[in-house]
Amino acid sequence: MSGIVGIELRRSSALLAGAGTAVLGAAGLYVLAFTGQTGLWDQQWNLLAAFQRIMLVVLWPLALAAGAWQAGRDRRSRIEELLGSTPAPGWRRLRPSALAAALGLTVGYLLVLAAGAPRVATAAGYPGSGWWAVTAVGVLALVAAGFLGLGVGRLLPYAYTPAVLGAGSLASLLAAIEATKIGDATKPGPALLLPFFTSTLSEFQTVGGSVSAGQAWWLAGLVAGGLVLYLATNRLVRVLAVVPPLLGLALATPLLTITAEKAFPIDPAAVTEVCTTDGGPRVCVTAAHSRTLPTVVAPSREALRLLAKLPNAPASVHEAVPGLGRPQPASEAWVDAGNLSQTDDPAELTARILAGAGTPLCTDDDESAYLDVLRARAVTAAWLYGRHPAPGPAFSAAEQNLRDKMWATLVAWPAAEQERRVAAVRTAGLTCGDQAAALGAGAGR
Amino acid sequence: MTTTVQAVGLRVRTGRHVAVDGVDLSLGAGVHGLLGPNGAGKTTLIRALATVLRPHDGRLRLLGQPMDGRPDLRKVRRALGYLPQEFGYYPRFTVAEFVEYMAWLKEVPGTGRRRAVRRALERVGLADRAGSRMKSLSGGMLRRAGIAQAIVNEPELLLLDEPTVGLDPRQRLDFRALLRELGERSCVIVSTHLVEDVAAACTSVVLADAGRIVFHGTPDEIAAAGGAGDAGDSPIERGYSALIERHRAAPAVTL
Repeated sequence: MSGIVGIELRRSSALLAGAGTAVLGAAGLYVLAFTGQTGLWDQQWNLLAAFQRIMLVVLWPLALAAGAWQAGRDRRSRIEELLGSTPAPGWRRLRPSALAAALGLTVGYLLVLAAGAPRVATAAGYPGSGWWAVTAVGVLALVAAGFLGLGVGRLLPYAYTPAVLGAGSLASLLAAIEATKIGDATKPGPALLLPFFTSTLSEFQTVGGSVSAGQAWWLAGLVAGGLVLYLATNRLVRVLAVVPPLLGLALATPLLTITAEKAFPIDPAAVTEVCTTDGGPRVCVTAAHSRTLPTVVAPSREALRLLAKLPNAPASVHEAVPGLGRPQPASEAWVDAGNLSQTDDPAELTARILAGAGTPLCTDDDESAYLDVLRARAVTAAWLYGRHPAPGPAFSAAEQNLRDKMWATLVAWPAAEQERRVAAVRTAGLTCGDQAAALGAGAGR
Repeated sequence: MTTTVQAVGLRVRTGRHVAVDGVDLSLGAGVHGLLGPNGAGKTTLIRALATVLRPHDGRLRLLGQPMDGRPDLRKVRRALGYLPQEFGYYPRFTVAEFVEYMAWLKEVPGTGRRRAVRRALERVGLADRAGSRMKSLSGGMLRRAGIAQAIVNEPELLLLDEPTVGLDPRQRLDFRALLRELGERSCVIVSTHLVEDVAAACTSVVLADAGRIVFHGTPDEIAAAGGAGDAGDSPIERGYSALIERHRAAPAVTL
């Protein structure tokens, strides 16, 4: 059969479906370069694998439509009569085209991974764990789409079936994304049955083993169901095509009925600290960002030097990881993980470490409080840096005006009071307190 | 002579219309021309012999297998070659790929499949176009590709429905030679409008009209049935016209 599979690979829609997957997927990765957002996937193999899964929202309907198109080939070619006079049973005749579709889609999906690989290989410090399982489930999802398309295309052999199936599934998947936003984010169960992830992962997260296992069961059920539907030669077998997906769902449900924390847990290896060992003040980043350590050291030590004017000044700088629940010791300055990749300017990075006097941002969802805290942290950074505004991005005139007034209020106080207020901002930050209130320089508190 | 096709009182419907209406026929090795006007039921009969249509009534045995009840179609089809009137093909396949694909469907063993494809293409004069896409072929070449796929499994029963459509005079001469060669070992049934093809290549002629067989004999016997007053440019055409006219004027004969 291998010779026939080779012919099907070359001449059926499998090659086109695979090439389309590869081209669209690679374009989806690199189009983010225009907006400087490749960090969403190029920092870790895990992120690349997960981002590929997000792109399935487009690739999945395309594979579905490609499968349905392939299933209509005999009708379009008016060859059914000739095929009907041959001894090979229908299921045997259709196997090579199904295999070719699976191979084409698999290679196309893996080519997207290969397209992103050079960038990840140069940008990523920590490889991440379990990315191969995320990729394997992605392949399974795409093959499931192809087989379902083949099955539905054979069941409904109309010229418009591929277009309706592709557009309909895209609309359905987009509606499903909206539905997941309404649901309880802490219980992602139903969303995990979708062939794609509905949001990106952070560099510190991984995809839980039970999620990959559950999704594999469910998608394998869809693969088998689609294949049975495609190869079925009578009505009874077509009806039986629902059995594998139901079985897959039954096996997947217990594995996918978990909280978001267990579905996408923190990867302990990714948050392990990697620190300087040169005898100078210690600067530590997470293993996930270990590649940034050389560029972080000098700005961090400069920040420590500037923080030294405060009482109980910190002696080391550490990358803060959200969600770990570890309290910040007074001897440490913490910088939000996101700040490490936000700038290439050492002076700006120093200012970012000084924001909140070496404490990470910690606010509730109240937007006005959030903005007040940001302003208080920026003014604190400026005071420690010795220049207002401190190096960093420009703001609107109205926003800068507010910050200027806060700065003027702060520096109008006696030097000891200024130092006390900035120290209070740091103290509040260590316990996730209200830093705007601690500064009290016109933030309305 | 072994009987390859045996029909007794065969009736075949296309929708509600009985297109083949009580045909008795017995054919063995040789080239058998199936002649008749439009609507005579030639294509329906060929389709029934190709196992594409199930007989509505009567008895049909193909290659010794009865086609009523639950016949072993797979065994019969393995020894069958068929070129439908409307020859469908995969346009993106090359000629060699298409013939190989059909050989695989006809369960030609993998070890000799490529060789069988090459031989079939050589026999129809398409070896030099083996790598051409099917969609790039002319009408005559497509017909020859259709014949190649029909003979790739060396069938014992070869059914060709209008095989010479689109062939130029030289290709038709070559095709007649191929038919004579194939007819030495197989039962070849050729449905055609072209009476001169029948005269040149067939060992027997089956004349059909209105779903019935009105004559079965040799080309010479057909020619002998005509007279100077019958329509046609050649003796066999005049014989053909005479036999059809006689049938329409009198009840059908059973042969």
